Formats: sequence, structure tokens, C-alpha cells
Amino acid sequence: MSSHYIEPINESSRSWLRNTVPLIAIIVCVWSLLMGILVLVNYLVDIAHGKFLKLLVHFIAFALAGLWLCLWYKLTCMYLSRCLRKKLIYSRTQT
Amino acid sequence: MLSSILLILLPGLIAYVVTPRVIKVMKRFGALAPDMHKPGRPLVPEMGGTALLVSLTATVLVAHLLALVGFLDHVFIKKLTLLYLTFVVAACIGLIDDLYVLSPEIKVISTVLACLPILYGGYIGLYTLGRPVLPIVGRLRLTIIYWLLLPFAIAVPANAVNMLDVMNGIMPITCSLAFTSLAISATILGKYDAALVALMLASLLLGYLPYNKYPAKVFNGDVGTIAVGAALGAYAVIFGMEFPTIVTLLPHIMNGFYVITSVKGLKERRKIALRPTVVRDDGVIEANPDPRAPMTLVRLILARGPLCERDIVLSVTVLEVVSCCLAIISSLLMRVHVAG
Repeated sequence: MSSHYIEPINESSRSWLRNTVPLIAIIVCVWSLLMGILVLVNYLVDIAHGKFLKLLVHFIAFALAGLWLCLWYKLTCMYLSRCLRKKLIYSRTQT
Repeated sequence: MLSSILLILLPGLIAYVVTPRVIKVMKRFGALAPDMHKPGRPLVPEMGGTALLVSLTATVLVAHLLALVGFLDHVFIKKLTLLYLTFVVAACIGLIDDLYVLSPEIKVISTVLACLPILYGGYIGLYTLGRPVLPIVGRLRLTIIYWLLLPFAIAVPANAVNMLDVMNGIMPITCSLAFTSLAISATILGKYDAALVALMLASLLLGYLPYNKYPAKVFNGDVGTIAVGAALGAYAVIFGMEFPTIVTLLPHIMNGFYVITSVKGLKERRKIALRPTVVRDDGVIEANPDPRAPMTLVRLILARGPLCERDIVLSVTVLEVVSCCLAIISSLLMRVHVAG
């Protein structure tokens, strides 16, 4: 019983970094994407003159923020479903 | 200088001394909850967050005494008091939730009440509301939208911190890291009073951490998590640190966003039939392979393979460190606009 208890913990100690790296990539991607959107919005604000164009830039900024959220969610869902599918296939081949 | 050092060290020391007494009180009153991620599910005292409330109260009283003898600026002490009042209101809501279990909707709506002290500060002109600074873009002028979004400034971080507090030590570790990075960001932006408050709150959480880290001697309870989350939100608004705070809280926001979107709304965790994770008999935790299970940050961490609780906490800590680094980079990008 005791050896059965210790073994998985040793195994998991090796793999915590492997589990974390994709999520670090997601966080960095999400932040970089946000910075990209801010650069784009800043550029659009600079070139927009007149009330209508300024309003349009605000609308585009909100649309980009929505797109950013969707991309963030989609990216995570893709990662999770891919990992879980692999895990299911692996467990089926084991049994 | 000496008064600043005293204010930084004091909350941590008080929290370190007070928490064992709170643990004894909770044991005496039978406020115990099972630790679900450990074999045998041992009972652990709850509502350790009350120690944070007591420690911060004592620190704020000392800060007032220092202000009376002229060691602290009066504007600083007013801002600190407003942040403290937000903390107290949120802690009361958390305490009621710990004792009577509020529905998620009522919990979120009641956390909105915690923004009243901040609104008062904005109303009396203690700080300017509606002028947040973004990296690259610069200072925004959100005269109406900001006031409409203000209730969310407290409700979102309070509930996000509460939702991620699923394992031993996650709340004090991640939030103390967040406050430390906010202190660095505030120093970069030349906001030294903001840096002092952030260090005080980081110290408070570090003094409490030895009792909540794996294996926990006490659980935070909603009284701790909601109050600390609300303090993060209040800090962001009062000291004009909105963007760095959002970036430091990325793991919390990610977790809250995933949970709400995957369970389609706010739901009490006891009413969600499927658990995001499964605890094996040997204490190792794995992701629930059922596609209908809620998507949480911990489930995402476990998606590539099972881990023990200590490693999951380590993973969340690493994610928080990455977010803190990004927050510091963001504040470097904001510096030019704040200086201008």
C-alpha cells in the first residue's frame, strides 16, 4: 500500500512542469494578443479624424476586445479537448 | 522611512501570531471542513480569513496613530481607510456566506456593496475616477462607463479569487505574489504610497501563509478569499493601478471565465453534479475526462496527466509568477504615459 502511495507522487513531481508549460503559453499568447490589439487601436485613434471616424474606432475597439475574449476561450477549449481526447484514447488502448 | 518599515512588517507579524488563536477558536466552535484532496479527508478548521481581518484592523489602527503624530500623510491614511472599509464589507459578506451559504447571485450582488467606500472616495475627490491608463494607448477618459463598471471592479476580483481558492495555500501564495508585483509596478510608475499599501497587504498574506500552505492547518473560508479579492479591486481603483492588477490576476480571471462559460452562468459548486477533478485513492488528482465537467484552471493543469496537490499548487504559483512578470512589463509600457 505504501509503495503504491509514493510512486504516483514521484511520477507527478516530474511532470508538473510539462503540465504547466502549455498554460504559460496560453497566458503569454493572451497578453501578447491584447498588446497587439492596443497597438492597433492606438494607430486607428491616431489616424481617425472627425466624430464619425472616432466613433467607428471605438466600435472597432469593442469588437476587437470581444474577438480577443473569444480567441482566448477557443484556444483553451482546443487545448483541453485535445488533451482529454488523447487521454481517453490512451486509456482505451490500455484496457 | 521607519514608519513605512513598521507598516510593512506589522501586518505579517500580527497575522503570524493571531492565526493560531483563530485556529483554536474555530476548533472550539466546531467550524471544521473536510480536506477533499487528501486521503481520508481529514477535518481542518475553517474561516482562517478572520485572522487577516483582525491583523489588518490592528495595522490600520497603528497607521492612524502614526498619522496623528505626523509620521504619515493624511491623504494616504484616508486612502488606506477606504481600502480597509472595502475589505471589512467584503469580509462580512464572506463570513455570512461561510455561516449560511449564500446563492451565487446574491453573493455577487452583495459584493457590489463593497464598492461603496470607493465611490465615496471618488465623490469627495480623494482620487480621480474614470481616467485609467493603458499601456501603449495611454490615459483613457471614461467619464460614464467607468462609473457603470465600478461595481464589477470589486465583484470580479473578489469572486475570481474565491473561485480559484480550491487547494491549500493557493490564495495567500497567488495574492501575495500579485501584491508584490503591484508594489514593483507602483514603484515603476512613481506611486510610492501605492507601493507601500501593496507591500503591507503582501506582508499580511505572507504572515498567514505558513498556516494555509500544504498541508493546511486552516482554510481561508470566503471571509478570507472574498475580502482579499475585494482588496485587490479596491487597490486598483484607489491607486489607479487597474491594468497591472488585471494582468496579475490573469490566472484567477481565466479560471472564473472558464467556469462561468462552461457551466453557463453562476452556480453554487454544491449544485454542479460533475466535479472538474477526480481524487484517486492514493491522493493523486486527475482531470475529469467527462466533456460535460466544468472547465477550471486546475482541470486544465491536469489535462496532460495527474498530479498531487502540492504540484498543482506549484503549477498555479508558476502561472501567477508569469502573470506578475507580464504586469511589470505592462507597467513599464505605461510609465511614459503616467510621466506625461
